[in-house]
Amino acid sequence: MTPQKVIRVLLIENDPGDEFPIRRYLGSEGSEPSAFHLQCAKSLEEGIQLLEKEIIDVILLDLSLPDSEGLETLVHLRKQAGDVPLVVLTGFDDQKIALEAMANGAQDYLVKGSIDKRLLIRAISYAIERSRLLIGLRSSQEERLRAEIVERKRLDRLKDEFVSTVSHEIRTPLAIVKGAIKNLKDGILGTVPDKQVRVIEIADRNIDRLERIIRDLLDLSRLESGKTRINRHWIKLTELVSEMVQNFQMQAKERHITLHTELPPKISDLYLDGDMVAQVMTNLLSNAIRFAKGHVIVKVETLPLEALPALGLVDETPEGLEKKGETVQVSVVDDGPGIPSEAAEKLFNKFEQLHRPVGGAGYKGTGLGLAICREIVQLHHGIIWAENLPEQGAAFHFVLPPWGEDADFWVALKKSIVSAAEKKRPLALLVVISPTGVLDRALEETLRHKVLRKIDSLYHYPSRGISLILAETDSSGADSIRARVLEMKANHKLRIGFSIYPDDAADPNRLLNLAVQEAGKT
Amino acid sequence: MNRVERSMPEKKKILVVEDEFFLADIIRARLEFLGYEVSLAENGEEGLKILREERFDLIIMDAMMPVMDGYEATRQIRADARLKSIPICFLSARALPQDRERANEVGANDYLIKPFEIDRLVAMVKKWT
Repeated sequence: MTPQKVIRVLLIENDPGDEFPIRRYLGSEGSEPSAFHLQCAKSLEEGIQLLEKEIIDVILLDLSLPDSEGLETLVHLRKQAGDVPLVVLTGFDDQKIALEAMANGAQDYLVKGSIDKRLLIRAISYAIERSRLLIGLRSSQEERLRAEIVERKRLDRLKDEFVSTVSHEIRTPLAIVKGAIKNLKDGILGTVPDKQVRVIEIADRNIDRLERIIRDLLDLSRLESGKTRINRHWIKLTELVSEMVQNFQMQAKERHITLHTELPPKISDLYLDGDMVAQVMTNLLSNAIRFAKGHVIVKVETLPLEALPALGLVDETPEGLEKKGETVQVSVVDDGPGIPSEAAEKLFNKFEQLHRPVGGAGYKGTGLGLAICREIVQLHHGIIWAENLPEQGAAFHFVLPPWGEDADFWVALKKSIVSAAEKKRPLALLVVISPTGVLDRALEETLRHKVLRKIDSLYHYPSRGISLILAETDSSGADSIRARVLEMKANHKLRIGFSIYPDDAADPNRLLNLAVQEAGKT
Repeated sequence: MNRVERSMPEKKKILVVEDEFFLADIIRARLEFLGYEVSLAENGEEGLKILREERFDLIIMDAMMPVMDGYEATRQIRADARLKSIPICFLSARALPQDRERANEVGANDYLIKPFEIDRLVAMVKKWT
């Protein structure tokens, strides 16, 4: 028979009357050596000290101790005890506290006074076994999580490589065809008969179109993969809009369309990526001019903050989001045939070309313009929509909210909460703070590459540290991620706190406060 | 040689070092139309060989080529007393600032990112001849 391993038991109990029977049950009987090695602590403090010094297989814990009382005792010890299984001893037959204890990390509970030897030994063995299973389960979950991260990174990389290779491989021959046709068109290879000029022009126009499609596809692919870093500055929107309209005057004139603007007299600077907003304007303007019969109007208006909830942009202004600029609505209105009702819903989807009758031949869209517009506006936390006007024509509007730098984090957190609520899944907000105040880019990169899955997001703010929004992650998941980060960056003395939706709070402000508080404590 | 060409003042000579033959051909057609005399080379090594046999006024140099790339060819041209003063215009599919920087370091005079509008290449050629 293999010698049975001695089970090392730590009893934290200050009442000698309760200690005695346990000592007796776990002691040796006759000539048989005991299967248990029992150590006793008279207070929580003493228990924790012993736990630090000795290897313990199981803890028996009385919730009423000189230095701690009730559930608090368990919660405190659970944090110190790591994975050591814990059996709670309740002095009275209080089902409620016993169940609460189980919910707070106890493996089992025993009611003092009704303990006998068999019951005690069974509780101890079961607690150890249950804890062992739990650890196994958790590490296999972690294993899966890690494998999932690796696989997703690999697929992302493959897709990015594919897109950039394909676009390069297509662009090179395309540039050659384009150059060849231009040589023909410019008469470099001899005079071209009139009959052939038309054919060459068709080829030329369609090569331009193909180029636009490839460029738009690349743009959209980067936007959708989150690879496009938004590069925001405080800019004057009305100037940008005027400039864009100016760029289109020529095109409008050619098509006998009047193009004018209605701008507010004064407007504060807005925190925007100017190039991206210019791209939105380009797409909307070229659509409008394409479909208009006689005129296109570009309007810029400021909206009061109260208008945002109706647009679905906020339920209320979150505490953490300071209003720093103006809320603006930009509208591009044409007097064309309007949007067919069956197309309205899919308008902003990829390759959804409107089959509105076009005023003349020539410029064709790529079918990607509005999809790009939507991605860009969403990156700015705004919304974009289209409507038909009662008389005739269509109007495209987009609204950009008035928030500065922190908006990215706030909006992401709110969106993640909404999506977690829909899926009925938990969500973890992890806040990483460095006590030295130095949070280097290397740490951010490590987190991005070793921790983040595609469904997660990371925000880096000097004032707040790094915030990770981890989708579908509960407290044990967040705890193991915290442990991993601490282990990876052991020399950084990081402080990491987290809070879980919906267990800790449902409100983003509260979630952030809790996570920051916990990070402060650890 | 026909009469018209003979009566013209001496033509400026351009060497196009580019492994993508069709692109080189298009460039040649355009530049010949504009009155330049154009020779082609498929890579840096061939380019150097031609440069040592004839005199050229401008080199259009692709960055990435087999056998010898544009960077190495440019470095050798700049190290050659007889060739080092010929202006070199780089063509590259790489758009990053450090790529342009690298071309500058080896001694390129100008830089054009592929794919380019032929008119931009023409403007660049006119600037250096």
